[in-house]
Amino acid sequence: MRWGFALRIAARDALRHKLRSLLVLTMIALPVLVVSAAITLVVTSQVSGQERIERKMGAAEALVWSEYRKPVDQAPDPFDWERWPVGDRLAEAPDLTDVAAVLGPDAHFVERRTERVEVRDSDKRLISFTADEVDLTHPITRGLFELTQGRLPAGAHEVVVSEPSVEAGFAIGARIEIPGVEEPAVVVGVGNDATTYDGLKVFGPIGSLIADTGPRNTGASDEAPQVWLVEGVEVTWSDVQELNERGFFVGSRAVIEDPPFASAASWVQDATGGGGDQAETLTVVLLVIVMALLEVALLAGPAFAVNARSQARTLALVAMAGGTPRQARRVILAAGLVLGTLATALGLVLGVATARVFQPLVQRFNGEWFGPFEVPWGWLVPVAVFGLLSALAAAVVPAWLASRQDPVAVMAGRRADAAPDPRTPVLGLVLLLIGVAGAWFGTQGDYTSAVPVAASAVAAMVGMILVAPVLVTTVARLARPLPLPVRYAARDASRHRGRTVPAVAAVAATVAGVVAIGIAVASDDKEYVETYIYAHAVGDGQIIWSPEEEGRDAEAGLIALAEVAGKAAPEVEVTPMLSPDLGEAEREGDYVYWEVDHDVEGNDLGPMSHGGGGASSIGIAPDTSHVYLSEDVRERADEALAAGRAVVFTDQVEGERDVVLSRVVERDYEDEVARTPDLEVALPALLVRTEGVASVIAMLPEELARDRGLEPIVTGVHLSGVADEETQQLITKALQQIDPTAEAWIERGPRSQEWQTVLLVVAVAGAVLMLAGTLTATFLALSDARPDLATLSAVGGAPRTRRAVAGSYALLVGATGAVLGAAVGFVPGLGMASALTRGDLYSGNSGPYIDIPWLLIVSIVVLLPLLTAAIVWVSARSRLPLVTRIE
Amino acid sequence: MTAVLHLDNVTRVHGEGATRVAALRGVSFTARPGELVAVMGPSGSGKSTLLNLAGGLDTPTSGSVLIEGVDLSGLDVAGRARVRRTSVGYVFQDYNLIPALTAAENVALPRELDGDSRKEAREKAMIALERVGIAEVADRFPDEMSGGQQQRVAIARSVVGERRLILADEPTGALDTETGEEVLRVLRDFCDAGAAGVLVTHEARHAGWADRVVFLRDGLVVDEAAASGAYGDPLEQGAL
Ligand SMILES: Nc1ncnc2c1ncn2[C@@H]1O[C@H](COP(=O)(O)OP(=O)(O)OP(=O)(O)O)[C@@H](O)[C@H]1O
Ligand SMILES: [Mg+2]
Repeated sequence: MRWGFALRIAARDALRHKLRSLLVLTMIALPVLVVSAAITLVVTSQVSGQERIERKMGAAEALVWSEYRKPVDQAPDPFDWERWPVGDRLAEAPDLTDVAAVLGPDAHFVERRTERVEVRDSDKRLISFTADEVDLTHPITRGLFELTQGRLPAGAHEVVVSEPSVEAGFAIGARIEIPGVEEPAVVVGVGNDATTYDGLKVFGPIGSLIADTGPRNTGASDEAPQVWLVEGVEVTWSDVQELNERGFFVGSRAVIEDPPFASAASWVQDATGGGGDQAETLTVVLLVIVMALLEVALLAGPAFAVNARSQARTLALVAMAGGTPRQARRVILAAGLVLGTLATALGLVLGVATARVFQPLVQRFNGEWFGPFEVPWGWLVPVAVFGLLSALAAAVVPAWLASRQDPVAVMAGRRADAAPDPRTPVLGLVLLLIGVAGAWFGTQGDYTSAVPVAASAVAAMVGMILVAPVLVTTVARLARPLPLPVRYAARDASRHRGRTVPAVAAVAATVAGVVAIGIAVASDDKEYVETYIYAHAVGDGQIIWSPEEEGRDAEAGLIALAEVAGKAAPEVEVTPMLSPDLGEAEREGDYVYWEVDHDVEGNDLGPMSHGGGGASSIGIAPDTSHVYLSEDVRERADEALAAGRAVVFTDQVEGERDVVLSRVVERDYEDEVARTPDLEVALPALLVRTEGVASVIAMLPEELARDRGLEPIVTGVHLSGVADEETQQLITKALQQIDPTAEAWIERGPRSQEWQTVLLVVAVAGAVLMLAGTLTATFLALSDARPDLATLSAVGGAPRTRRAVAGSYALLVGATGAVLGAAVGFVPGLGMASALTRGDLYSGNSGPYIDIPWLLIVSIVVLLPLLTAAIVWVSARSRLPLVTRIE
Repeated sequence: MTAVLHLDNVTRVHGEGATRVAALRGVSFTARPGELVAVMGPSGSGKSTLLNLAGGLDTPTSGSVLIEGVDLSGLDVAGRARVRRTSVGYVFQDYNLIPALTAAENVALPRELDGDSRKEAREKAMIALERVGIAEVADRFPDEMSGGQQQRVAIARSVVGERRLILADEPTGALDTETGEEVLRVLRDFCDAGAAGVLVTHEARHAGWADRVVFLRDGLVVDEAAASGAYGDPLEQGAL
C-alpha cells in the first residue's frame, strides 16, 4: 500500500471529527500565522538595495559625496554607515574636478546639498528640519519626492515640504525664514519624501534653504556634505575605489545592483572581523524558533495521540487485513500530513493577509517608508516546511505507539498501553544531562555560541519527554495512599501513558518556555538596573534648555529660570551651579572646552574617561553635594575642596598631585582645524577614582578659581528633592512660560517597571497557553477515558466521584508537567540570559547577570495546575456527556 | 488434498507464575479446502486463542501453525501480515469495518495493502460484494448499513483476492437469528466454492452449517465429530 489509502482514512477521519481537527489545525496554524506575518512585515519594512537606489538617488547613475577630508573605504553599498575614513588628511579639499577627472567627459553632475536647519516660529518655538537642496524639476531627481499637493518649486526661493512638515507650520503659502539665507523660502507644494515617513523635510533649489558658509568639503565635523547626482556614465567598482582614494564616497547604481563580492554581508564580515553581537542575537532568535517549533509539536501531540487511540480499532482491523506495522504508522502520520498541510497553508495565507492588514498600522511606528508590500517566499516556504515538520513530529510518537499495539488486545477491548521500555528514561536522563552540559558549554568563552545553546535546549526538551512516562508512573505509585478519585486518576494516567505523556509534555513545554523567557527577561532587567549610570541622585536633576546665546550672555536667563523654578515648587531646593567662564572665544562661534592634564612626572596616565565637554564640565562649589558620587569618594573630595584643592575625577589613578587645567579653542580655518590651548593654569589637586560617569570632570573651590583668574559664572541649575512627576511637570510648565525649550530633567533611576510589564505579559500569555494546553489535553484524555468513566458510574460512582476523578487527572497532568517544565526551562533560560547580559564592547566585561523570577515560577507551578483542576472539576459534569463519541 | 490450515500440537501459555494460564494445551487441528469446521466450547476454553494463532496474530508457546504448507514461526511480523493479506480472512462478532471507509473500500483494503492499485482493488472488491449479494451498498459507510449487511461485507473482505481460509469468531453473536442464518449461509457458500472455514460459535444450531465440529475445553480438544446433517436445514438439526 502506498500513502493513498492512509491519506484517505486520515482525511475522512479529520472530517468525521471536526472539533478535534479544528483544535489541531489551530494549534499548528496559529504559530505559523504569527511567524509568517512577522516575517512578511519585517521584510516589507526593510528597504532592499534596489529600492534604496531609487530613494537615495532618483534616476541618477550614482551619488557622490565627501564627508572627511581623507581617503576613504566603503562597502559596495555605502549607505547605512558602511563607510569610513582611512589614511591621512588630504592636502586639497575634495572637489568636483576630481570626480570629473575620474568619470570622464561624458559624466554630468547635478548638485545636491543637505543640512539640518533650525528656525524659530512666531512663538519662538524651535523647529528643526532637513533641508534638501536639489533641482526637483530635473529628470534625474525622479523618485526622490512624490508630490501630493500644490506644485514643484519653480522660482529660486520656492520649496516643497514633506507631509508631516505641514503640521509643524509649513503649509502651502507659508514663509520660512532661515538665518543666513537672504530671502525667505515659500512653500508651494506638499508630498512624500522617498525615504522618511515621519521626518520634517524641505526641498528647494540650491541656495534657497542652506546658508552659504563659504568653502565646502573641508572635512570639518559639523559641515554638511555636498552631494552630486551623476548621469551619463555607468560608475564601476574601480571608479568607486579611485574616488575613494580622492576622499569621495560613491553610491553607484551599477555596483549596488551587481556587487563585486559574492555577498555584501560577507564583505562586511570580512572587513569588520565578524560580529559577536550578531552571534548573541542569533542565539536568542534560534532559541525562540526552536522553542516555538517544540511548542507546536507538543501542543498538537496530545491531539494526535488521542486521534491514534481513537483509531486503535481501525489500526487493529488494518493489521487483521494484513497491514504491516509500517502501514499502520502511516495511517496516523497521514493525519499529521493532512492536518499539518492544511494548517500551514492556512497559517501562511492568513499570516500574509494579517501582515497586509497591519502594514499601515506598523508603518506609523517606523520613520522610514516601508518598501512595497512583499511576500518573502524565500522565508515563508521554510517556515511552512517547519510547521509541517513539527506537525509530523507531533504525530510520530503516537504513530509509533499505535503501530506497536497488539491487535488482538484491541479487538478484545483491552486498552492498557504496553509497558515502557526501561531504556527510555535512561536515554532521557542522558539527554537532559547533555542539555545542561551543552548550555553550560555554550555560554563559556568570550561570546555565546548559538548552536550549542539551541541544541542543548532541544536535547533537554526531548530528554524531558522521555523522562515523563517514568515520572507519571512514579506519581501513580506515590498516589496509592490517597483517596479513591486521586488514586484512580493516577492509576488511569499511568496505565494510559499514550495520552497522558503528550499532555504532560505539552504543559511542560509551555511552562519551560515561560520559565526560560522569564529568566531571560528578568536577567536582562537585572543587567539594566545594575549597570545603570546615574546622572544625579534619584529625585535630583537639573534644568535643561537651549539658549540662543552662550556663556555669560546666557547667565541672566538661567538665573531667571532658577527663580521661576523655586517659585513654582517651594519645597524643591534650587541651586545655581557655577563654572569658570570660557570667555569671548565661545561667543564667537568657536568650539571651546576645558581639558585637565594630569600627566605629571612623565607618567602617561592615558585619557580620562570623561574628558571634554562645555563650560559645565568644570564645577565651582564648596562641596560635592550636587554631584552624584559614591559616599567614600564624596568624603575625600569634600575634604580636598575644604582644604582649597581641586578634585579631579578619573578612572586611572588616585592621589594628590598637580594638574594643568587648560582652555582649548578649536577653530575651523579654510582647510584646517586649529586646536590651541589659550589658557593654562596649574592647580593642586586630588585625583579620585569614580565608577561610572561623574557629571563633571573636575571641581574646584571658588577661592582657588578666583585666585587663578577663573571667573565663576552660572552655567546650570541643580534641582534637589523633586519627589514626584507632578512637581516635575509643574516646574517644567513654569519654565516654559519663559522659554519653550526649557525643561526640568529629573533622575528617576532605572525604570525596571517597563520590563516588569513584559514579564507580566509573558506570564499571562504563558498562563493562558498553559491553561489552554492543559485543558485541551485533559479533555482529550477524558474523552478517551470515557468508557472507563462510564464503567465507573455504572458501578455506582456518583457524578461527584466522576468529577473528582476528572479534576484529579487535570491536577496530575498540570502539576507533573509544570514541575518538569520549570526544571527544564532553566536550561534555555540560563542560556538566553547569559547571552543577553554578557558584557559587550560598549558596556565592558561585566556580567553575565542572572536573575531568576521565583515568584513567577512558583506561581505557575503551584497555582496553574490548581486552576486547571478547578476548571475541569467545575465543568466536568456538564462537559463529559458532550465529548465527541470515540468509536 | 493438502490442509489449508494445520495446527500441530500447539500450546499457548499466557502470563507467568501465579497469573499463568494455558489457553491451549497441545492442540492439533486441520481445515481442508471446501470444509467448514465449527469450534465450540465454554467461555475461556481457548477458541479465540486458536483463531488468533491460526491467523498469525498470536504466536504459539510451542508447536507449529502451517497455512497452505507455510510454517508461520519462520516468518516475521511483516511476513505474517503478508500471509493475512493473501491467504487468511477474519470475521469478528462486531465492529469489523473501518468507519472512515465505504463498504467497497473496506473490502478492497487487503488488496490495497498488498499493493493493488485503487481501481484494481475496487474491481476485486465489487466481485466479492456481488458474491455476498450486497453490491448495492458498495458506496455506503458502515454506519449507514445494518448489522447483517456489515457482517456480509466483512465476509466479502475475508475472501477478497482469492483467499482460501476464513476465520470467523462468533460472527453472528450480535445479530438476530434470521440475519445470523443469512450470514452463515454466505459463509457456507464460500466454503462450497473451495475455501476452508473455521467458525467459532456458542450455539449448537450454528454448528449444523459445518462439516465437522471440534470441541474445546480448558485448552484441550475433547471431542471431534462430523456434524450430523451436513448442511441441510439447520433448524432440523437443532438438538445438537
Ligand atoms: N492476553 C491474555 N492474557 C492473559 N490471559 C489470556 C489472554 N488471552 C486469553 N487469556 C486466557 O486464555 C484463556 C482462553 O481465552 P480465549 O479468549 O481463547 O477463550 P474463548 O474460548 O475465546 O472464550 P469466550 O467464549 O469467552 O470468547 C482464558 O482463560 C483467558 O483468560
Ligand atoms: Mg472468544
